[in-house]
Amino acid sequence: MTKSWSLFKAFSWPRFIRMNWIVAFELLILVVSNIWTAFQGDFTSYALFRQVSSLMFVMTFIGLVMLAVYNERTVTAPTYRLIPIHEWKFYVVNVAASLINLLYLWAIQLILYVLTLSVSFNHFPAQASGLVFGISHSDGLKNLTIFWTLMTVMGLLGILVAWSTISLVHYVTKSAGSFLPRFRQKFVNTIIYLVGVLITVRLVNILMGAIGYLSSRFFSTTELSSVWLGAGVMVAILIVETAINLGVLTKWGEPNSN
Amino acid sequence: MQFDDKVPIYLQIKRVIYQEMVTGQLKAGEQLPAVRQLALNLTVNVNTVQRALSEMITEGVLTSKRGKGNFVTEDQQRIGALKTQLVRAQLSSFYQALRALNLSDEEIITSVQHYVQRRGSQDDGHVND
Amino acid sequence: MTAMLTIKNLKYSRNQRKILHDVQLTLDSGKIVGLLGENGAGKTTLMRLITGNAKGNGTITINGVHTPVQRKAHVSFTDHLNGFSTGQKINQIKHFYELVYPDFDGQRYQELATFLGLDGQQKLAALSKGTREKLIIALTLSRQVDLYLLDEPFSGIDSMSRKKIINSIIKWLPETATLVVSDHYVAEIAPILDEIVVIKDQTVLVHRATDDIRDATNMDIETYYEHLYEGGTDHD
Repeated sequence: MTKSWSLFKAFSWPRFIRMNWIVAFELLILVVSNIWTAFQGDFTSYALFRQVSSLMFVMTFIGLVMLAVYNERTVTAPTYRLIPIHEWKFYVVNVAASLINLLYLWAIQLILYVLTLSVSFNHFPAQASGLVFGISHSDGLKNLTIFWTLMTVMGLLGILVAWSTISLVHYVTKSAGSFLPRFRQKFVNTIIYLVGVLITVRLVNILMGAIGYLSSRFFSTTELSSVWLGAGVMVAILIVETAINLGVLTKWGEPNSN
Repeated sequence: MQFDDKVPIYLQIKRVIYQEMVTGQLKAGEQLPAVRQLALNLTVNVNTVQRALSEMITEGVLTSKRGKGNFVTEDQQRIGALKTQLVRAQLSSFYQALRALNLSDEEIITSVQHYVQRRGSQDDGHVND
Repeated sequence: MTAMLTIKNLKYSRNQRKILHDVQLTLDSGKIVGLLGENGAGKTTLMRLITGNAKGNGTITINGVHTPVQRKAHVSFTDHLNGFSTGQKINQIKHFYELVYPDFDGQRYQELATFLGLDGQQKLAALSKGTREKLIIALTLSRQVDLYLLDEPFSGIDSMSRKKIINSIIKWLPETATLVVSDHYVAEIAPILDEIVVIKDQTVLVHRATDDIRDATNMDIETYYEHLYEGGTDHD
């Protein structure tokens, strides 16, 4: 039997390389565009910071999508499914390998953010200081920490639910072939897609609500229960979806034939 | 080597080894290559070689020494008998083929004599086929 | 001789279309078995069922174990390496195998790679069909298991590569292990086969020793195999 840790290393490595490609691409964009602005004579460290804070969302999104592709490809490729390890360990290790790489990508983004922030902090235009969450408030540092912790937890949960929803739609539509004739498969697939869309809409709703709530009202009111409620809903969805995914994977989930 | 896929492979392997023993390519008492090596040389399955060899051990033309491998028998008489046996087998099929062409025994002998004389003078003793 | 692989009452369908049914098969240890049948007869499916990657009904036992996870630890199957990106080097793929298969024998891989002329620095995308097949064979035979399944390793490759692959099977197949090799053209591998298994009409039609066929029918294996299809009138 293969050890989970060995599988984790084997799964993480190619994803780690891919994450570094994303970072390299990001740095390339920053360098090229800033050389260009410097050449034109309007380079400011504040503009650089603005650029980093918007690029980090784009890059995180690209990373998320790429890792989702890895998640699904790993399950469909016989290369991986021939490995002697229990399906549930396989599933958990697969998601964990993606998660750790996403955290790595976030860490790099955070470092870039903090670096450019510290360089440009003293050169902020007066009206722009509010753009950095919490900084203009009196008890800034503490709130900033709480804000980012909550954002991270909600973000992570949101991503896990997004990945498991993708897997759910993927596994179920793929496995329908093992027991249904073609026309009924289409029917089942349509329902599954609808459920997927529904969960996605719900998820986006929760996340948007949480972000909106956190960034606008966090510092004035003390009511946090709706954020926790959102988190609870996501955990519940995650558990149900994971259980279904594991069941489908074990019973019907065949990888592609060679 | 090329096998005739109509004939059991182990029989053909035996024939190859008999031939080498009779012509002296494999000398009395000499060790045979390891089974796997033989299989590689002949591009056949290890089991098939094993089957051929164990039949030859039963026949007494090979001896198996535990942990050392397989050896051609030291018994010169046995090899002599093997040669006689091979020659007889060839002659028998040859004889039958000619009889099938309605040749009498005398005709067979004379035609063989003619053939050998002509063949001998033509290609200088090369009678291998 | 002990039974290495036992298959009982195996059936498998996709989209409610029957692909295999009523498959009964017992293979002994230490054999090289040819799995024959037309394209689409279900040879690959049978192999996938044995590995546990295809999920059918029936029991499949390899050396006493029968759950898919346990079976995977006893079977080495020629994977077509589609899970790797084409930019990966041979050495990286070998490293992956070493990492995820505890039974992978690095020493044996080196010997096989040398024998087959594999260059570890080459990228997957740069390999010819023959070289890619050699890599697959080297990886598959480097695992130390009881059962090796080679899925059409000779299709579309040149005769020199084929000879090399056949020789590496003879040379590196462990004595007690059984190897199943599928092909739809028998003549090229007939001399190395102990037995053949023919799949026709969604089930195992024939399972017989090759020398027994030669002995009893006076036919070569190719002719015997073609003979099975003559006079067949079923269409599906």
